[in-house]
This record gives sequence, structure tokens and C-alpha cells, in this order.
Amino acid sequence: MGWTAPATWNPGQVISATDLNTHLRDNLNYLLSGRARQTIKRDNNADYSTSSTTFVDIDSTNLSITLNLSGTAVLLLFTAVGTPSSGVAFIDFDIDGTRFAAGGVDGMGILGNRSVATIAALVTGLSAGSHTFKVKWKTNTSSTTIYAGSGVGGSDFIPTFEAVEIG
Amino acid sequence: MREIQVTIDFLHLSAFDTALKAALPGKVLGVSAPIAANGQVLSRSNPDGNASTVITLGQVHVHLDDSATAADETAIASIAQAHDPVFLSVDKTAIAAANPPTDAATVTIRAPKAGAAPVTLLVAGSPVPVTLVGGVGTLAISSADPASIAVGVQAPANRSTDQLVIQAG
Repeated sequence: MGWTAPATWNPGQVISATDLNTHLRDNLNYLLSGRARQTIKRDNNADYSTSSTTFVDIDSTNLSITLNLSGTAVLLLFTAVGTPSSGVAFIDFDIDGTRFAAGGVDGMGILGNRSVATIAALVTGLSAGSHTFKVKWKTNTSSTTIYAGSGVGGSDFIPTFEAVEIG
Repeated sequence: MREIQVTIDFLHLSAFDTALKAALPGKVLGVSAPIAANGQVLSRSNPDGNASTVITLGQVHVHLDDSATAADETAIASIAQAHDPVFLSVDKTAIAAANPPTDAATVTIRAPKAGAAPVTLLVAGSPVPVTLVGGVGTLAISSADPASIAVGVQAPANRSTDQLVIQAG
């Protein structure tokens, strides 16, 4: 059940059960647990690797979240462990095909040698309706790996990606 | 920027990337793929252990500059088809130098492609052919004298960029 814009009540107005169910019950349920959200725990049985020096999707299929929003704000979180062969890698969110931190050529976050990269963003100003969120990366070295459940001890980490509508 | 997808069963990402950039300077921005511990290109969707789990094999993304042409894409497909990866690993990188030898490092060579070409290593600059059984071979490295012994693949183009260094002392 989605969000319904609350009615403005007038003196003397007869309020029906349907009104209460729609404007109170359903909206309260929506605020408690009905907001669009998705969590991905990406156990891929294989690690992600890239040599791309321009931002590309880490996984356009399996690290992609599409939410149907009633509101206009979404909180995004991404955490992963990885390592470049040398140098560093750069990470950013993608919202409907546009990099979130496009004002910086290197995006939002950085991944160094066997390190954790965590990026978070409160995305505002979205329109109600469907929006797709992804995670992008690039490297400044020959290759970079993000661990994703390969089963190899010492590097068997699971990337997580969450998107939650918050208002 | 745009990307194309090629199919490669086992990928040495750096070697493939190097081969592409050497063949098509300025046209290839990089390569991305999910790679399992054995070098297999593998992606698992819906990993819940239920019936909807899907394993996708071999999908490698090549990121291209906008100037890349259809002929470039054909060349990329040929390089992908020829990709014959060799992976090197070693159990230890420091050994005791002695004569006769009392210590050795074991280099493991994996060439997982079906019908992989023979592998010859360069050990301290000298070619050493490797016998592969089921795509796997080993080579013991020892040294009578203190030395820094470099181990790589001879003719590494589109096969490997792995370089091992074993210190004998």
C-alpha cells in the first residue's frame, strides 16, 4: 500500500471507515514498514575485477536497485572490501544513469590495498515513481578487485548495497 | 564511453586488458568481469540456494572509447577468442640457498583453457618448459647461491602478467 496524501478535514465533515483506513491506517503502516527499500548481500561465488579507468557499473544486473517511490528522498549505502593491484580504486553511486558525485572526477569514495570502502548518500529531489540505483567504480592501476564471496579464506567478503526511501 | 560483451571462460584480466590496449591503442578503456578463484568468469544471481539461482558464465565487459569502430569490435572478439590465461602462484617466496639444495619453492602453473597452449616459464631469464596435467603443473625452484629469482611466462602476450620473485639466501 503506497502513500496517500492526507486529506484536509473540515468542521462537520462525516468521516467514514474508508477515510480512516486510507488516511490513517494505511499511511501509518506505510510510514512504519511500507516505504520502498531493498538490501542486497552480494554472494557471487566470484570476485569483481576491473581495469577500467572510467566509471563503469560494478554489476549492472546484481548490484542494481529499482525503487518505486512515493516520496522524494532515498538513503543509499554501499560497503565492500577489496584491493587494487597497486594504486587505488574509486567508487560512486549512479542514479538513473547519472553519477551522483559527478562534480568530482573521482566520485565519492576510495578503495586502497585490502581495505573497506563505504559510501553513503542522502539523495533528495527525486520525483515520485520508479528510480534505479547502482554502484560504479574505476581504477587507476592495472586492475582492482572487490571481494564477493569467492570462498577463498581471507578474502571471502560480501558486498552490501542498500537503498531506503526515507521521505 | 560504451561497452561490449565478449565470452571468455577463464580470464586473466590484466593480460587480456594489456593485449587489448596494445592492439587497439586509445580504443579500450578497460575490462570488467566477475572472476572466481580458479579464474573462471562466473556470476551467480539470486544466491539463496533456491530454484531461482542462476549461474552465468563467461560474460566479460570491454569498455570502449566512443571512437571504437565495428572493425575494432571484431578485433576484440578475436583477441577474446585467443585469450589463453596462465596463472602463477608460489607456496613461499623465500628459500634457503644451499649446495646441494635443501630448500625449494614450488611454483604452481594453471592454464585452465581447454586446449591451452604449452607453457614455458622464464626462470631467472632461462626458459623452462612446464608439463601440464589437467591444465596444472608445478615447478620446484632451488638455488645453490643467494639470488633473487624472477619467474614469469615466456611469450606472455594475452596469457599472463604474473611475475613471481623468489629470494634465495
